[in-house]
Order: sequence, then structure tokens, then C-alpha cells
Amino acid sequence: MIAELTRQLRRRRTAFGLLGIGAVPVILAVALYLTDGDGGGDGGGGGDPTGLFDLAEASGLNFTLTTLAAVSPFLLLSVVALFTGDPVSSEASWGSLRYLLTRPVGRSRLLGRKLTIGLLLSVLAGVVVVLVAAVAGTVAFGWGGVVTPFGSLPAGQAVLRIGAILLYVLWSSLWVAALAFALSVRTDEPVGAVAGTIVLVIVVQILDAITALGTVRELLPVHEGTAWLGLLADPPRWGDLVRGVWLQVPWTLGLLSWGWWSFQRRDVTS
Amino acid sequence: MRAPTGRLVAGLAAAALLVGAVALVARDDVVVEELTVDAPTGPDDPTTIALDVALYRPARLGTDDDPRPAVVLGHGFGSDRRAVDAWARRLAGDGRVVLTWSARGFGGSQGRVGLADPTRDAADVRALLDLLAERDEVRQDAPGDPRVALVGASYGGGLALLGASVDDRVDAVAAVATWADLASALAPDRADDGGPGVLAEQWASVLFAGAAGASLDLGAATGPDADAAAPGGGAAEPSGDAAADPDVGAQALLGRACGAFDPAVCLAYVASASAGTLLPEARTLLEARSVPPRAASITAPTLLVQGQQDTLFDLGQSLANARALQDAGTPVALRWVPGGHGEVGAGDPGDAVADAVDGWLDRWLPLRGDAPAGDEPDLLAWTDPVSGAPRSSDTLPGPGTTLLRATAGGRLVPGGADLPLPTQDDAAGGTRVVLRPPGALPASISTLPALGGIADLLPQLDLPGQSATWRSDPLDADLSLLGAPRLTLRVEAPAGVPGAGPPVTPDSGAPDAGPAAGTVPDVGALLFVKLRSTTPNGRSTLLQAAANPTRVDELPATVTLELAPLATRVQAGDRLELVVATTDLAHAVPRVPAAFSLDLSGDGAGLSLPVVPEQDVATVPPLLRVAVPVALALLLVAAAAWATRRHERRLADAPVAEGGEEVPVRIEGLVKRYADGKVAVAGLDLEVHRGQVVGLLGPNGAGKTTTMRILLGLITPTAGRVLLFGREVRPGHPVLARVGTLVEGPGFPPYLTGRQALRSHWELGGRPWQEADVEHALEVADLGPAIDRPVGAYSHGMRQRLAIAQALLARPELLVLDEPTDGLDPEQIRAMRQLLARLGEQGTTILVSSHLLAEVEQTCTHVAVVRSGRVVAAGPVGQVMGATRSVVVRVDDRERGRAVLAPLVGQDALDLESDGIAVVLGEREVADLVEALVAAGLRVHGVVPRGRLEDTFLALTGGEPAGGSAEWTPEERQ
Repeated sequence: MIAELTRQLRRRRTAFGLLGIGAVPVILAVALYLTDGDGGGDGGGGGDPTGLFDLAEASGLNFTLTTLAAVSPFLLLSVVALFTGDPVSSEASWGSLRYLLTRPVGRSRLLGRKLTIGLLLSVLAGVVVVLVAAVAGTVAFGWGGVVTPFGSLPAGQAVLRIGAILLYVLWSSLWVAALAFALSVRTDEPVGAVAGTIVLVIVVQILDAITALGTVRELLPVHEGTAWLGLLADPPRWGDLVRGVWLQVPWTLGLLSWGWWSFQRRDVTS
Repeated sequence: MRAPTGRLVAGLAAAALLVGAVALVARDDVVVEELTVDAPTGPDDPTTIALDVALYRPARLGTDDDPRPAVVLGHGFGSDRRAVDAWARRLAGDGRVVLTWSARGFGGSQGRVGLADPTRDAADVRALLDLLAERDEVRQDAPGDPRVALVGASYGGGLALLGASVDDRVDAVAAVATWADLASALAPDRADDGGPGVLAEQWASVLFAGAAGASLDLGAATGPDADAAAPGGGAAEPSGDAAADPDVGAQALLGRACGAFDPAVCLAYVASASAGTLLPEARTLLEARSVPPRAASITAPTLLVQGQQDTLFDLGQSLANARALQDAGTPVALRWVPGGHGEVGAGDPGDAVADAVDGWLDRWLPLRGDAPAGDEPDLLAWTDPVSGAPRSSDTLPGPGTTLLRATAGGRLVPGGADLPLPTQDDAAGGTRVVLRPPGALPASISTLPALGGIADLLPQLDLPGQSATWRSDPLDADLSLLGAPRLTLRVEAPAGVPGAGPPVTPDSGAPDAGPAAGTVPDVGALLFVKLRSTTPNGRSTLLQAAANPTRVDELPATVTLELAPLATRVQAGDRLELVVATTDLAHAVPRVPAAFSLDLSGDGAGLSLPVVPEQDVATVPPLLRVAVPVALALLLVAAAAWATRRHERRLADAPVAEGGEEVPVRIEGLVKRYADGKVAVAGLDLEVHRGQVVGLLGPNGAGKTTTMRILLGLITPTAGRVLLFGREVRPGHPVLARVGTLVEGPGFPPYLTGRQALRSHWELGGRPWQEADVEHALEVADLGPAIDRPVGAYSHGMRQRLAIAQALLARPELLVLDEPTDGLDPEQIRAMRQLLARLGEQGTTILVSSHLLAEVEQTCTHVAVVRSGRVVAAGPVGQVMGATRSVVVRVDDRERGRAVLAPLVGQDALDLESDGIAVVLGEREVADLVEALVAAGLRVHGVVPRGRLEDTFLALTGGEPAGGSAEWTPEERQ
């Protein structure tokens, strides 16, 4: 496992991915700090389903929440897709996959290791975003409690809730990891796996936005994506959140099973 | 063979699942029949109006089946029968006959909207029941008396109740989110002293606009009196007439604005909305449509469902209906479900409402039999909004008994009239003054119409000075409240402040023209009483979304207000808040500024709460609910890991075929056929004994690489067996630890250095770096300082050497090399050859594949010739190659040379080439040829070996180039 971790960490794209997502809060903080936040009122409206964007400057923790809300629908999912969709297909593209497979190590074990490391790096990306946002936000806007659309929370509780929100956001990205992984075992082209995953994520999100689809939308894995807002309420609302946690299980298991099954049977010609 | 059947099975399974899902989801087919029913226009009117009706029947209901009970389903205000189409289909799918109709004035029905006039709109039920009495599919209790239930939500619910009071043929009623007294619903007044109340402006306008708009859109208002006030008729009136007679003109104008409304109703609304209060005529009109006075006429068992956050018809309405029906001796059940008016009163209700109605129908209108089926239902059932748990009661809730007193300091403390107040709160006086701003804006926000279930997320806004708040201490334990709280307080108007006294009448206009438009008459005190629960963090929730409008008509007064019933729970740690405000955004409030003083601290004053004993509800803490799926996922992962380990152990423990150690590679009957039909390997047999260096010789596409990949577990064979050291090969088999490989070129991650790549590859095999043969490997790689540079910078030759080094890390007993000299320059090829020779001498078994004859000749001890997926010849190199050696002899006169050589080797072994004569030697030696040629006088310029695979094949297959015969050895040929 450590060997695999080292193998992945040495890659330049790992560093770029983490740096990239870590730069987002810094850029946001600088932008908000410099514009002083006045122009944010009008012209907004679209693209803020959480109601948190206007509250970004209230405190450092508020800024962290806003960053998390901004990053979780797409950017974080893209990074997750990158970290989980790349390992297997990039080995195939370099020609080293066949050598890994001729080791006395089963294919399942190999996949398991790559998936675990991919997930670990995704978690690391999430933690990096939150920590950088917390630091940048505190520097720019100061420490303090959190103001939410439902009221306010003291700083201590807010930290706990933000941690829980991060866990939920990462859990909700499991299906993306599973999809990216499943695609990466089927293709020799890492770009195909990562880009294909991102395209599918966008398609699913579009489907979720079409209200005419009715109750079918409730089965989509992104449907409860903003359910973590309930954790900001007081007392916290768990209904949608629990549902969101359950929703990931069948999708992730299904996609991973598909990936596993196809890799076990596959003739490796790369 | 595996891939196609696998895909076929998967496809069939998916198709089967899809078909099954569709079958499950598809309902029992329902047949819809659209009809028109004539109903009397009014009690003394001989004319009739046509009602648009739809009849839903289960498709499977044949003529031989028993007739089914029927359900008459009404729709909400402002829509038509199409709004309840989905609900009707569901009810019909359950097996009953369903009749929906557009209430008069709506949709395709004629007539005017009388707002559930019992003599008109509700009486239409009679005509509908008459229709059902004539249908064969409907069960009849007696000739002309169908077995029928009236069901409806909101307006439809009111029609159901009033219809049941008019026609006693009705056998059951289910009324959802409907009223008891329309007057108190649209102009509530908690003081209930008969005054005009506070007009629920927003709700009234929403309803009216919805209905007027809906009926304006359809040109179906073509009743007998349509031309007088209908939009079409009004527009056609000559303008001259309109100018001459202002009443007709006003009526025409009103007609256009009123749409299909009954003029009396329309006028009542317009006048009240303009006045900002419910005028006496309007009040009389609405009270005529009340249910409790008619409760004695309703004999059918009635179900009343109400939304807990309904702000139009609150829980008190359903409670009033239930009490009246209970007093009349009618079986009644009350269900309070979560949701506002929009959710609960919708045309297609949610699960809570649908289940309650279905349960009621199943009990009182069973499909088979006549007797009520099932257990006695609870009288009252409600849902605890916090835990979501269902609760029930056998009695209707009464008024509150737990008394809380308010102190001047703004606290709510428990206590009765006999208990003294805590002294530290005994501040000067006990009164609070609240102000109403001019124009009644800014206004407090408590709730807005149609927000329903999310109403409690709306931030509560009470403006300073406009409201007075009393707060309790944080509660020690959860408090369950069921019933109507009561507030007793004293209201006064401080002297010199406008607001006390007789109503202000406008100067202009006739005295009986009514109040001027745009002003709410300023009578007495208009207050809004709100109960809230507040969390420790300051988040407030309005209990039951009730703003409790109150009008105290004469000041000063001590009034007891009965607030809207509650069915809720306040959690431990929260505080209870009582707020009295002068404005509310959803209600019509006088614009004139005023001030009132409120005193809750006097004798007899206080708030009494209807507390019910705590039911021990075992709620699952939310963290646990979240932990379950996570634990499930982890469990499955652990199970997968265990299964993997078990599989690996089974592989390691598999039986070893005998002789495995002497024969590291044994291939029996190997076949590989791809999905597109291409056959790469067609029955290949091969044995490699320990210590041999076997060359796998064949042209490109012969199946050498495929065979090697199968040998290593990269590709699964279609048929046949492959044994490595006596063990059947599977992907990742432990026996591969004894094998080093180089297949189709090197493969390294370009960003790792040579050393890192070797180490990473080794450690991924699960063994520590110390066990690897690093020294030897690095020596073989011979890369010098380049070993610490990224592999991406290497040349092909360097990578090839690194790949060999990687193969040697494991001190392998078997080396499987596929074209190891591919892409190397002659110097490197020589080095490779020397390495292989050295390894062979050390005892390593080597399997090398190549398409170059010379290479095989020079490096291998044994050779297996492969063609078209089969081994054509196998054996020691000398033997096999010996039979196939050929040379090119360079002479001046080739023709003569050929003639000379023909007797020696045979005519077939000679071929004229551009640079000489090609000769397949057979058993002859080169020396023999040269001797013969020289003896014949020819000058021999040179003899060059010619290594052509085709010659080999020709020789081996006896001149047949295509197809391969079964494996045979040169000895056999001889």
C-alpha cells in the first residue's frame, strides 16, 4: 500500500491537482477581500442554490462554508475523478500495467490498492480545500461564528459542523470515484476515463435539474448533493442527509462491481 | 466463447429486470368515460346546468363481476376535474368506480361558482349520485341508492361535507384540508367576539385570483344568464347602454372581473377586500356555508384530514368539524398530517393523505361485503413533527390546562393564579406597549400562504416596538402539546392615541356606500399572537405556522383568546416564546398608526398550554442512522477483501501436477479465439524442460505473443491448459514469483527514476526491497548514473535493459522473453545474447520468442516453430534447424551451378536468386557443395548463410506452405 501511495504521490499531476484545488480558496479570498463585497448583491441570483455565497465575508468559517459550497458540485468531483480515474488507465498507457499484473499479486488486490490510494488522495484534496479556506478566510475576514440562512452558530459548533459537512461531501462523491475507476479499468487512455467521468457527472447533474422527470430524479446519485445544508440548521436536519448517505451505496457498489468484473475477465493487451 | 455468452446473459438479465419493473409500475388499466350530467341550477329554478363529469372504471371490471362501490372525488378551488385525474386513476386502480366532476363554474361545467353553496354547488352531488344509481358497475344499497363515498380536498372537501349533509345516500366521507366555518377561516379572530375579524388578505386574494382567472380563461360560462355578466356577453354590450345606465355598466365590469363567480359571492369578496375587513353581508354568506350547523344531517362516517402547517384552514377547523360530528353521533376520525395547505390539499395528495383516505375507504366501503372491515380506527392520530413518530388519542383535545404566567420582565413562568410571581421580576407596572406603524409597514413576517412544510424555515421577523415578547426558561424536558392554547390578557389603548373609539368613516360618498376603498377600518385593537420555540442558538420556529389574528373590538378589555390548536413538541433545552405583534404581512391591517398596551401579569391573565403526557418515543439518534449505510459499505468492502484473500489462498493450495519442477512450462492444446472470430492460437502444445533455452520461432501473427501472455495470466485461453511449475496459471498466481518477464517491450511510468521504478515494481509485488537481487539487476542494466534519472528520458535501448533488470530482480527460475532484442542495435543485441547465454548456463530456464532465425540459432538450445497458432516443429536446435539450413552460393554461372548441385541436394532444394543460388542443405555440408562446384570448374565467390523462415517452413512441412500439420519432431520425419 505504501508502495502504491509513493508511486502516486510522485506524480506531478497529484501535486498539481492538490495545488490547484488548494489555490481556489486563496483566489476567492483575495477576490472578495479586494472587492469589499459590495457589488455582490445585484447581478447574482443565479447559481447560488445554497444561499451561502452572500454570507461569505461574515467570518473565516463562513468563507470556508462558501468555498465548500462553491467547490463541491463540480470542481471537487473533477479532482476526485482525476485521482481515481487515472491510476489504472495511465499504467495501461505507459505499458506498465502488464508488468504489474505478472506479479504474484491478484488483480483484485491490485485494483483494491489503486482504488484505496485514489480515495485517500481525494479525501486529502477535500481536507486541503477546507484547511486552506479556513486559513485564508480567517486571515481575510477574521475568526467568528457562522451566519447561515437559518440563523447563526458559534465558532466551536461551526467547526464540528463543517467537519461533518466535509465528510458528507466526500461521501457524496463516492459514486464519481466508482465511475471514474470503472471507466479507467476499461480504457487504456487516462484522459478518456477522467474526461468521460466528468462529462457523465455533468449529464447527471443536468438530469437532476429537469423537474419534469419527477420522482426519477430522487434516484440520481447527485440528488441529495446539497442535503448538507441541513447541518447548518439548528437543530440540524438529518432527513435528507441520511437519504443522501444511503443513495451513494447502491450506485457505488454497482459501478465498482462492474469495474471489478470487467477487469477480472479482461484480456490485457496493453 | 466466454465473452459472447457473458454479454448475452447480462443483456437478458437487464431486459428481464426492465420488463419486471415496468410491469410493477404499470397500474391496473383504467377506462375513462366522459359524460355530461344535468343538475338543477337552483332550488326554485326549473333550468338545468350541464356538469362536466368523468367516470373511471377498472378495465378488468367485466359484466360478470360484482359491482363495485363508488367514490365521488372533488377538486380544489380554481381548478377542474383534471387536477384530480391522477388520484382518480389510483383509486380506480384499487378497484372502485370513481366519478370526478368539475364543480359548477369551473372547467367545462356550466353555472356560476357559488363557493360551496349548499343549495347549489353542494346540491349538485344529488345529480351525480343519480347518475351512479343508474350504472351497472356500481353497487346499489337499494334501488336508486348507490354505495358511494364523497372524497375531496380543500374546496372539494367542503363540497363533500356539505354534499353529505344534503343527500343521505352518501355512505362515507373523507374531507381533506377543508373548513368548518369559512368566515373564521378567511377572517379569523381569536377573540371570537363576533366582530369583523382580521381579513386574511393574502389567502383571499390568492384564492379569488386563482378562481377568477381559471374561469375567465374558459369560454364555457354559457349558462342561461351568461350573457348578462359573462365576459363575452359583457364585451358585446353597446357602450351607449353602459354610459347611460351606470349600474349595468358596473355590473358588466364586475362581470368581467368576476368571471364565472356568482355575483353575490363576487361582490362580497370585492367589497370586503376593498374594505379590508369582512363585511356583515359577506360574513352571513360565508356562515351559510359552514359545516357544524349541518353536522346533524351528516350521517355517513367521516374522515377529516388536516395539515399541521395549514394557514388557510388550520387544525381548529377540523377540530370544530370533528366536535360537531361527534356531538351528532356520527363516526368520525381526525388525522393531522405534516404539511401546509398546498401540500395536503393538493389534487394529487402525498402518501400520508392518500393512505389515510384509502384506509377509511377500505373500512367503510370495502370492495367485497357490506360490513365495515378492519379494526376500529383511532379517533385522533397525528405525527410528532420532531421525531416523525405517529401518535394517537381516543379523545378530542380540549383546551390547555397548564398555566404559564407572563412577567413584566418578559419571562414566562409556570404558575397558577394562586402562586406568587418571582419577586425579582416584579418591575414597575406589568404592561408592555406595542405600536403599529403608519401604513402598517414594515410588517412582521410570520408565514406566507402556500409555504406549507418549509414555513418553519422562514426567518421569523418581529420588529422592535411593534411586538412584545415573553420568554420561558429553557425547558428541562420535551413538552408535547396537543390542543388549543388559551391566552388571557388585558388590552388597553393609552390615552391620546388614535385607535380607540368608533370607526372612522370617510367624508365623501353616501353613508351606505361602505368604507372607502383602501382602508381597513380602525376598530378596537388588531393583534397577532404567536407562539414560538427558540433553540439555544437563537433559531425560532413558529409553532404550527399560526399567526393567530385577533381583533379586540372594544377597549379596554380583558379577553381570553383561544389560539389555533397545536399538535407539536417543544424539545428540551429550547425556550417557549409568546409574541404579540401589531402587524403581519399576510393579513390586512389598518394603516392608521396606533398603540396598545398589553398586560399579561395581572390576576387571571396568562397562557394555558395543552400539555399531553410524554410518549416514550424511541427515536434513533441521527448519527446512528448515518452510521448504518457507512457501516454497511465498510462491511461489504471487508467481505470483498476476505473473499479475495480466500481466493488467493485457494490458488496457492491448488494441487500441483506431477513433474512440475522438471517441466516449468507445459502447454496442452491451447486455443485462443477472440470475440470477432479471429483465432490467435489453434491447438498449441509445448513443453519446456528445466535448464533449456527454448526459442519460440515464427512469423508475426503466429500466436507467439498471445501464447506468452496466456502463459503469464494476462489473457484467458478459450481452451486448453497452461501449467507453470505444475500449477494451472491464473491471473496473479503466486507461482509468478518465480517468473521474470519481458513482453512486448518495456513499460515504465515516465516520471519515476530507473531505481525508483525498479523498487516500486518490486514492492508492489508484496515483498520487501531487501529480498530483491538488486546488485545483479543493476549490473545487468548497466545504466550508470542514468539510473537516477527519470525513465521518460531514457532511450529505447536503456529501457529495454532496465526491463531485463526488472525481470531479474526476483532471481527467477524461468524467464519469459518476447522479442527481447527488438529495437536494439547490434552491439546491444550481442550483449543480450551473452546475458541469455550466461543465464542459461547458470540453470535458468528461458523461453524466448523471435521471428529471426539467426537469433534463435545462436541463443537457444531448443526451438519450437510456430505457425498459424500451432507448433509445427519442436526439438533441439541442431536437429530442427539442421533440417532447414540453407545457404546462398555465389557463382558466376548460376544455371550451370544449379545443374551441378541438383544431383546432390535435389532439384526442389535449389532456387535461383538475384545474388546466387539458394540451396537448402539437408544433410549435405557446405564443403560438399563447394567441392562439387569447383570440380565442375565454376568459381565460387562466397557462401552466405540464408536464414529465411519460409525455407524453414518449406523444409519442415515438406513443401506445403499453408496450414500446419500436427506437432512432429525432425526425428519422426526421418
